[in-house]
Amino acid sequence: MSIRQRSLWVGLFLLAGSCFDSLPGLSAQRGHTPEPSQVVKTSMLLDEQDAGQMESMEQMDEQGQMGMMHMGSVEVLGDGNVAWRMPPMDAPMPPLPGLENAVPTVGPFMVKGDMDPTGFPEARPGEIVEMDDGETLDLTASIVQRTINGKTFLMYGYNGQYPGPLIKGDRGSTVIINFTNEIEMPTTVHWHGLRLDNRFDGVPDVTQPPVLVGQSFTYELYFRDTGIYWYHPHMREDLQQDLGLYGNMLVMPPENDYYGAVNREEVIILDDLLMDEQGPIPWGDTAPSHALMGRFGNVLLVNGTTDYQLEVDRGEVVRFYITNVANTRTFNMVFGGARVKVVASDVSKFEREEWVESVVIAPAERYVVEVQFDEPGEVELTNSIQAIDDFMGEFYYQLKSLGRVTVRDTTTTNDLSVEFKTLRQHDDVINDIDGYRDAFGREPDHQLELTLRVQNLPTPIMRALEFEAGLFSPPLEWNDAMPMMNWLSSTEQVQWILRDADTGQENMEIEWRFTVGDVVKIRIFNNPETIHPMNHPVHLHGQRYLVLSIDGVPNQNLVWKDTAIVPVGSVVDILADMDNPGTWMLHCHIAEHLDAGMMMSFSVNEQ
Amino acid sequence: MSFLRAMVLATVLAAAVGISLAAAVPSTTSGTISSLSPCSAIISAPPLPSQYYGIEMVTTRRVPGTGRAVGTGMVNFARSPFGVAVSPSGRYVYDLSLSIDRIKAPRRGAYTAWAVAPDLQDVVRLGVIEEGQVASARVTWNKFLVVVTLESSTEPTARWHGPVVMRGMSRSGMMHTLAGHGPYENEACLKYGFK
Repeated sequence: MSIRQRSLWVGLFLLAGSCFDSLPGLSAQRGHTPEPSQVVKTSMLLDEQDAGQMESMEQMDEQGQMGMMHMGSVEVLGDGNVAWRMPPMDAPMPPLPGLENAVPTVGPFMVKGDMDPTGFPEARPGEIVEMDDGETLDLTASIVQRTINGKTFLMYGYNGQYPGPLIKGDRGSTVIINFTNEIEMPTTVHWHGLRLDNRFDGVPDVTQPPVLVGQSFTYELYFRDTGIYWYHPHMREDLQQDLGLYGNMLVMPPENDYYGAVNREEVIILDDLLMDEQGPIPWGDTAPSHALMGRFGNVLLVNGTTDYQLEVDRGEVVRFYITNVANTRTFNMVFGGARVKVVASDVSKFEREEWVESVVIAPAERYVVEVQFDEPGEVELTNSIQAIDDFMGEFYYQLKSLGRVTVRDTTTTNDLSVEFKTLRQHDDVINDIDGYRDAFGREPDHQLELTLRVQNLPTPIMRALEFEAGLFSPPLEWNDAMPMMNWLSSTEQVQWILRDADTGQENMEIEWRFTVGDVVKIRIFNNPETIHPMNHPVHLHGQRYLVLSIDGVPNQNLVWKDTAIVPVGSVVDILADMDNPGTWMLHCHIAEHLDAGMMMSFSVNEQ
Repeated sequence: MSFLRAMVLATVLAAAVGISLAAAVPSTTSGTISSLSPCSAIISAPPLPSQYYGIEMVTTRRVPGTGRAVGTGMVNFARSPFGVAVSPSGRYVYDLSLSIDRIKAPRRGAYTAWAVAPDLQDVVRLGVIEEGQVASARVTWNKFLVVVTLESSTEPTARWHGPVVMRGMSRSGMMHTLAGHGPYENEACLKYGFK
């Protein structure tokens, strides 16, 4: 099944779900009165290609894998309760002439058709679940009620929590997750960063069939590497993940001195949500909107809330495990004036600890940092960026609060200042990487070009993109600089591409084959000479890799990664340790880009 | 800066850095725009600083022996554990390196390279530069200009005093308002502060 097919299938499934809903609250649906500029999309006529895709879905239905899908007509009626609303803008700009009343080509989606949320359980803060080797956890994705920025609406949650439960286990242990799907559409759970058994990687139609509504799947998670990992759906991430389906796994080391000494540990998940005064802006139903740049939120969330707070004693050293689960936003996180030491990233510690002034973290990346708060008072955690006003053609400074640390005037009784001031060298990491250094200088085994193809975008958008194509694209998009164009582009019109530079094959056409033990050098070039270049956080499933260089500059402090930024115009060389057998994915972790096709698979075979 | 002056500057600088806006826009076919060629030749070459953000230096022809001078400024992200180097205020942190060629040694004084913010107030001295040599410094501006001047001595100074021999600008200097252009061609520039 192609990505487009799968996306359509999920979309039709949820539309059908909204038509035949029988959950509580249906009779109390909240009606929207569209503004004059709003267009309510209540029907969708599928084209011949889609009808062909549906045919294959019906075949799968006969095989009993698709279950409840029952589509006798190509016309699907929505409940008329959800309307598109133009997303709010960071910097006001006039609507594109000719598109004043335009809406995305896909229909709008809200959980349960945006029905009255009071019939659903209120989500509660995430809990810590400490698991021993062999233990089992029941994990359910379900619909929950959330209140954010004073608005109450429906979202999703794992075990009714935001974020999902923090699963804590020891390195080397295996835990069992009995997952049940109680949301409105098929889903899976991907255990991001774990080098686990391929059968449990959670990729629909690659490692497992989608988990249909009401059905279950049992995952076995092997915690091979110490560090912070996360779990999320691998179907319509733009929607399911954005609606709250994410959680962390914290794999603890057996060594007492694996990390430096700290007074406490905090797990932080960074996210954003796109809202206006009515609540969340709808998502695309059959396919994602915001296909050009991904869906930037305007409300920043830490652990699912807008009011993250922490209280510490003066002088405390806090280890923060930070994960970015946003669809597309890269954060530049600043800890006030506190001193910050970066210790580890996705799959290992760095070779050497370093002082940093902020933490740049792309979607799906993780960083472990230690921060000492040695001045009493309030320390504001912020996202500090140079945003772009695309209409005015200007940079502007944007500072948004992520939360607050209150430093009490009471000095900690366990002063760790001496340890904190020491930058440690991690010989265990250096010795591990030593086994790979011979491969650093060799020619690449494979080369990927990152690019895109667009079709049928409205003419004003094309004109704007053409005007800007030869001017300047930033290395990273820190904000939604062109919110209307972005919103109006769906994955029906935008195809993001991984292209094998040697064969010309694209995305899922690419077939790389490796053998367990192969060490593979991959050169990734993010082509800036396209109509809309953009940065891509490239994620490799089931393996680990080193970022050897960016634009020819060798990386002098290596760390094992599973996701890393490839800026616009850059050439990034990575070295992958292909030691985990199975069929795995390599893809951009901007949720909308993934749905727009920017993925490929590769196989690692037993010797 | 007035809109007209901004336009003139942008046009002049765009021409100076050798970028044809028309040529840079991909071709259109029935509303469909394909990405450009795969650039296999580029990707196969040893990785270098991004050509896209390269700065082409253009001679001002104000000093004898510099009429044929060419030069290139390249930016690399400063080393960072995050791959992309960004300051706490969100500005990119670049290592800027400049090389010049086809330039005759001055009869007296020294060519000196500088990076300067668009307001021409904040200046970073890259250092003395000669044909075939590289001068470098770290810059943290969103937009900046690069100039080579002829200074009377090699002694470091806070800013230049001699004539500008060569100039160029960061790629970000090409960022441009949409007011009055493309789909917004009927949008009055005055409304947005451009005169």
